[in-house]
Amino acid sequence: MIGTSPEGVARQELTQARYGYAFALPAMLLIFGIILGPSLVVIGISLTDYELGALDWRWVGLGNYQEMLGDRTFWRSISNTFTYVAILVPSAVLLGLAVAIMVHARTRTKRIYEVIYFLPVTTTLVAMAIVWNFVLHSKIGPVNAVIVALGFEPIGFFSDRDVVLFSLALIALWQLIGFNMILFIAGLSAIPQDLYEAAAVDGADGWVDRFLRVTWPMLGPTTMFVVVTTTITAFKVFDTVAVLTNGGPRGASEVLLFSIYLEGFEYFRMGYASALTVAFLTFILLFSVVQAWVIDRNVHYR
Amino acid sequence: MKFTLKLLAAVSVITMGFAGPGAAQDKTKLEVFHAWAGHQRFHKPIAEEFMAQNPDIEIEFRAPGADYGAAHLSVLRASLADDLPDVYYSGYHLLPPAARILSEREVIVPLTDFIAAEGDGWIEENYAPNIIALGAVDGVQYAMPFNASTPIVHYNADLIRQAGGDAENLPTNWDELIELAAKINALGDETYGMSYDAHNFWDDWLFQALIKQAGGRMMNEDETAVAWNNEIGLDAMKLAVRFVEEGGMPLITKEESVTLFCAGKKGIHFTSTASVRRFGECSEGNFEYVTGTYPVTDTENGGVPTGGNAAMILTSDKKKQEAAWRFVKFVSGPKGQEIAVLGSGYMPTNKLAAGPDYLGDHYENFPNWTTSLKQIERAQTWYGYPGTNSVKIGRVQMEIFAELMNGDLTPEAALEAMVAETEALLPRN
Amino acid sequence: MSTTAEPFAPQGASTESLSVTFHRLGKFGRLALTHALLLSGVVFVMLPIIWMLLTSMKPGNEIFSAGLDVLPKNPQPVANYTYALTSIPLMRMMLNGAIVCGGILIVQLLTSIPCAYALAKIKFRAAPWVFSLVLLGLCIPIQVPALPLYLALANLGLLNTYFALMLPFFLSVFAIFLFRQFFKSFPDEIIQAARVDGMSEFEIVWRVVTPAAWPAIAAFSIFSITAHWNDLYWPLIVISKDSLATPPLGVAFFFDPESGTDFGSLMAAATIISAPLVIAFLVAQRQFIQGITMTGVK
Repeated sequence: MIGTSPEGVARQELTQARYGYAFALPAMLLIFGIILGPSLVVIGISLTDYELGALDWRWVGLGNYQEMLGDRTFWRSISNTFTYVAILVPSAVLLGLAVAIMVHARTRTKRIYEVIYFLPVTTTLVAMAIVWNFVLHSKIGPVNAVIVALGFEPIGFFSDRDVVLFSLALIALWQLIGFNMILFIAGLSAIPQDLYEAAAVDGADGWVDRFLRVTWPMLGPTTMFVVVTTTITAFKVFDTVAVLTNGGPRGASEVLLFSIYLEGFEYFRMGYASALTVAFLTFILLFSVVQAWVIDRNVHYR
Repeated sequence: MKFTLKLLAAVSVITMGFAGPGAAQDKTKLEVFHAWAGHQRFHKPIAEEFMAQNPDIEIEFRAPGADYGAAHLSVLRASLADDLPDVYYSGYHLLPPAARILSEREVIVPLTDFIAAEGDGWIEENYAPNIIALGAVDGVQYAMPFNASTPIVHYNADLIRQAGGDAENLPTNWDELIELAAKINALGDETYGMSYDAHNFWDDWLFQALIKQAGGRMMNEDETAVAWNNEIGLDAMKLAVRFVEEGGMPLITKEESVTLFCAGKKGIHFTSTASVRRFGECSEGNFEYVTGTYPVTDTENGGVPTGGNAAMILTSDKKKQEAAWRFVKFVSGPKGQEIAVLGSGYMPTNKLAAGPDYLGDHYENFPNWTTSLKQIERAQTWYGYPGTNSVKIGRVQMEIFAELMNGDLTPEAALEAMVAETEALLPRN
Repeated sequence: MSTTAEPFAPQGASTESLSVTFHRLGKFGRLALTHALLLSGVVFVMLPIIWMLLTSMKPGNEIFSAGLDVLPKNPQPVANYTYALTSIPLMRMMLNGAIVCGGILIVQLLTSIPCAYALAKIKFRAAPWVFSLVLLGLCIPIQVPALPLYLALANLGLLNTYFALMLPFFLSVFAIFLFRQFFKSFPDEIIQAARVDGMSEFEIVWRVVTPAAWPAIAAFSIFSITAHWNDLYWPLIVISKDSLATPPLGVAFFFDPESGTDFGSLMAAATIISAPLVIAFLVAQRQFIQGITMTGVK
């Protein structure tokens, strides 16, 4: 609906390109200096048997990677991670969007809903771990008290192998709904009101029509952003595993970052932990590039 | 601003080093680092007491490590950056790797000369042989034991009475204990008999206890094979199954298990003596809380593994080493131990601390705190496997243990799996 | 302000019939249904928070009671909150937190906005590469570059400084990505008009595009501040002095799974350090509203 851009003079484009480089430069320097450069060191370490603090170490080539492929805990943590991502991402995106749309349409109660849904984002994990431990306690927790009162069997949220990933996803969802809601509301706020009016003139009536013709396409870039960041957040699950389940019961919640933590921080095998890290980064990068590519194709920026 | 100050401080320290003693600055500053933020509760008062007695030394604490593993990593990182603390409290199970790496880097100070300078009989007067041994690695005394804890049994006396048991005479062997747990478990749906959370603990501490209490050891003399691939190991497996099947142990996380005990819903709970303070607090007004010694099958040679931490010196500055030794001596001395014990529930590492001048009165008033002392001569080292896989071995064992308790493995199969998996992680020669 | 935007957005296929059913509910019915859904979410969200608040008022022996018996019998809010505030320098920690979060946020905005604008609105050959690097950066958790960064800071003698606390976060790839997505939907003709008016690209970024992106900036600021306010990992690596401790270190003070966590004071401290974030959110909320009026004008 936006007209084609005016004829660009070649010189103008050249100046623009220079600005493009200039604008990207500080960020690129920082990306290399504080993220990528130091991370390259990790790839180097993954080819050694280095242990933190040790003076002697050897190159082992791809030995760590070979060990990794034959390590059943590695494959188990991959499958756990993907299961967790598959549970969490759709629910966190859809519920975040639903809450955002409902809250955004409120007038008097908008601010209060926003604050309440946002509260989980402000909490600190050390405290919330203790809270969840009690609230979801398999024997004496209030949630199970309600479940039992309704006539069902109590659920071993952290002790049942088939349930534990759902419990961890539920806890992440608790924070992510508010998080994604904020992003979607920011996206909704940026949709000009006159587009809805124009759509109404075009004959769009009913909320589904308006949603499909204005809200959804206009929200495209935001949705893509939320999907990609939620996926990456889900892949990076670690804190709740470390403080709530320690990977248990019997490895059922051992996810990739937790395996890396065990190898590097508990067993102090930096070389092997680095190899796992490289594998982790490969996965997550492949995933988000594919995702970004697919969504970027389907989202048309007006 | 901060940076300038630090620079100034560094410069003044350097110039002081050249000028020798007698320069304007006369206080020796020691940086001290320990794990567990909650331990500041006793570390700070100890340092204050020490500084009051030693005005020429100033103690400054680094922000504590989140747990023993995090503190260990932090020290190793600091060794790369030449930014080590002067005194560091290492968890016992991480003491061997820490001492080996730090001595390879020549930054840890062996305490041999300092101890010799204290004169004959000083060690014997202050420390039991099995306790002082906790700070030795490869035959060298690198650290002084500070906190020590052994597993004890925590009971809910109200539930014992309700189940018709005798809370005055607690079980002394496993059969009695499991029988009591079964009775408590039979009280109703909401009540649980016992728990022995060896299947999801932080490490293999509670499993080692099951082997050591039967007089077993973790590895053979020349450290080539596990020493529990026998009746002792099998009995440990069978005992674990009985905890679940007869004693009514719920298979929940270790945190849930603690909460369940605090809520007064569980009769018998196994964990460290360091929890007496916490359980004393959460039980107050809810139920009567008592403690008992860890049952041992072999009353002659049976033992329990010791957890906790020991203080080591990591400075190359001679003057600081001197000051650091005075500090380490103080914290592991009777006064330091009195404060540490009262702030936690750990058992004192210093013999004199339990005497009437220090903890005597407290122990008289709070008998729950004395249980660990009753088994102090049973305290053995918390064994670290050779090679670098000690922690991983513990984790692998716990998983097999969990399958055993869950009924997925027979005791025989579990023992076989545990032996195989453990030996696979030992160094191959 | 948003009466025309309709509530509720199902993702199902049979949207037509749903729409019809929904219409039949009538205005009041629709409103009631929306509130019922929102309120059930509120219960889920509030349950742990209420437990945290109640615990912050309880003495040690009342923390764990079975089932639904959750109200404190002998509340001692004053004792717990006083202890949380006096046993550790919580106020000093919050000041440190504010300095660190503020410093991080300012540098993040200054570096990410121009880069995001370049990626969204300027054609230059390296753009796809830059965007790939941004995606890559987004994937790397701080734990990965932590050790080399620590050693670099140590070699420069910069451990135990505010700078060390802030450095790894000066660039937010999250911000670049977020702003890129927002700038993409900014109308091209406005930018062209500005160019025709003789504005430089620099002016366009800061005076035309940035003001229209307030909702995104507000949203990002909230996330940046909450993330770094509650971060426990990095401060523990570069800070060893109490005087530079950040707020979560205050909460960790009461945490001791070995010999007993002081639950009441811990929850009190946790509540206290969450409060400034709630206030920051209330401030940011205004920016959302401002953003609506800004984009609505044109």
